[in-house]
Amino acid sequence: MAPNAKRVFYVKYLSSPVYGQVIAQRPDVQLDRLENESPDEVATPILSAAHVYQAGASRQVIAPHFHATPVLLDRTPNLIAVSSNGAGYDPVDVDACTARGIIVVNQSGGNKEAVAEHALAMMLTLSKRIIETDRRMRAGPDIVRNAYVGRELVNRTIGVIGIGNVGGRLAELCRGLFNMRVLAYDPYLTADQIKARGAEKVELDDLLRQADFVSINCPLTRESRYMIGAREFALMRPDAYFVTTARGFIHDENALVEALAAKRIAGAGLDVWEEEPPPHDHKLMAFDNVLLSPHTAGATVESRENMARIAAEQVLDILDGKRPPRLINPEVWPAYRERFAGIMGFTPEG
Amino acid sequence: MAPNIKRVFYVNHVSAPIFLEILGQRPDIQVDKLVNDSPDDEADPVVTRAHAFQMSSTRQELAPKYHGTTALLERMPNVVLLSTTGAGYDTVNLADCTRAGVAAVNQAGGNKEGVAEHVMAMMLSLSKRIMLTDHAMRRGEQRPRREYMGDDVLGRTIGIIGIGNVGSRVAELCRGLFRMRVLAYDPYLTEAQVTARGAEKVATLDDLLRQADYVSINCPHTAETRGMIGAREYALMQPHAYFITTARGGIHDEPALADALRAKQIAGAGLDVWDDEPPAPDHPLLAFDNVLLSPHTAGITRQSRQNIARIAAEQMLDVLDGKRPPRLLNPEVWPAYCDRFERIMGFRPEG
Repeated sequence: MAPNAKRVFYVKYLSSPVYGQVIAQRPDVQLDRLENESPDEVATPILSAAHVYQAGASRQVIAPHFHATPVLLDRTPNLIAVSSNGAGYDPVDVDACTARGIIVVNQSGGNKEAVAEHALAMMLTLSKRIIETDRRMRAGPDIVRNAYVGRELVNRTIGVIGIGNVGGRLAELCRGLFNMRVLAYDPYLTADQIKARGAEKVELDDLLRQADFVSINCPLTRESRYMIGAREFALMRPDAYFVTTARGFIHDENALVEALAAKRIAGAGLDVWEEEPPPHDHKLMAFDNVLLSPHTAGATVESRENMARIAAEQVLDILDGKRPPRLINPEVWPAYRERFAGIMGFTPEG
Repeated sequence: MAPNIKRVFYVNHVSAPIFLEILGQRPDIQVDKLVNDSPDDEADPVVTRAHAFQMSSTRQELAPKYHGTTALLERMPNVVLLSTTGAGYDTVNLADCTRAGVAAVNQAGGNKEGVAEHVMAMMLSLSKRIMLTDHAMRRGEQRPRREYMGDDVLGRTIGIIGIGNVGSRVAELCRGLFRMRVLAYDPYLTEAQVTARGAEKVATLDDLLRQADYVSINCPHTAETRGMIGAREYALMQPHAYFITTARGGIHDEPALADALRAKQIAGAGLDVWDDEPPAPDHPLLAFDNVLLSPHTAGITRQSRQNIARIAAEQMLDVLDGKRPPRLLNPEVWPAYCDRFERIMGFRPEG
């Protein structure tokens, strides 16, 4: 028999109040909030009854006992889904969820506009040398403007490494607004698929040799870890800029310091770091031609609302027995259908 | 009698070597170079014989004795053309030129891409709060990321003051893939003309200031625009809105802007132009983290320099060959100009 209330819980925070507003339109769904410090007598009944865990995407903010690991899953016998607030899902043990027939979903693409705009902002601001002039003007008198002749984006070449949600939007902006040539390195997509996203498929070395701007837009995986090191920076053109809004550890920070110090590249825009936030004495902060942000590319008012809205909609789809659009562990599906039927009293579609 | 050689000079530098390359293809044209402090015995013969003067648009770069005023024109009995290197013509007194029968031209539009991209760079960097985080990180501040939450530009509203060459390109960039609403204030254009440039004409400046998330100044500095944006205008802007100018200093009131920023009446500013250029390091506007600064470099990109140098050389050849230039700043001079040209060059210009 179907339960009267479908139960969703979260710990400490949601992306935006929009999440609660969307859920509240459904009287059959109850949303509970826990704190990292909630005592067991409060937490246990909520965990025992929960069907969906709306989980924070950051390991630092959510206490370890609320990470979606076997320890927590032992306390949630009615759970069918873990939904991450963001594109990342670091606090979720996907294998442990799969082993129990629990689906894991994320909100990838929900902040693609924000991240693509951030990458483009960095490209423009570096290329127009605005950050160099800003620093120089604050530091002392008599700046010579002719020493800061910049370059335009129009008709130039960008190399996008990883042409998914963000990379695809960045390609669209560069091509559409500035008539740029867009090269893409993405071993998971065919030449035709890349062409459909508005870019030319190339190998990584060719991309690095040809691009005026190199933008990293792929996830951090075993394959992409330290993909951009000393050898790769050496292939880049001396007038080219390196921009990353993806994840730390894909580029080698020490190698980037050396490339900048040796003027092997023109500058860099860095939103992601091996240690976040990076320490104040980080060597990359010593360069005037480096533009810094502390992993804020995706954090805009609009993307938070968008992420919250699509997260809530996806959770309602799940509770209604539909197949969610952003499923991380599709291999779980047959086991999930059985678990879902046992808990919810009906079998999901698909 | 017509001169065998048409003489052109410039002071200090040209925008790009292509200017000299284009003129160099013409055996009937001689180009001389002077510098701000060339000695008189070297400068006088060049100035006296010159038919055309290719000059800086920036007052600070050019010695006052080379500004296009009556004092200079009286030393130039053979001149027919003053040509500035940029869109600006602060270095030329148009009334003095007209009185003397001398044509003044600029290179408006030649750097529109460079300037429009500068506006976009500032708009995006401010909206994404990148400079704010950059300053904070270099100072060693570590605040929660949500305190630096920015705004996407997608779907928001820009107000463009003056929708000419640069303003139209900004409108195109904002409307296209960012699907922004584009408002324009431009009393010199009809509603139909503004629509053709991709914007909605607002009835008053106040309407634009009240509605825009980003305000961009893209009009020339004239008697009408001087001081157009002051305390009253900043007060009309939304508290989350950004003010961006790549036009000219003097159109916005700098002390009023500093007051508006201090009172958080607006969210920040991107400033490429200044009352005094470059501004002194103790200028109050240099103290804000939410202000992005550049020293009048929006229009100086390699591509813009190249483009401006090319169109400046082509326009100068047109003039020396007796054609009407496409970027004439003082059209009212034309009848007097034709007389002067004919007297000096030995033939009458077209048109």
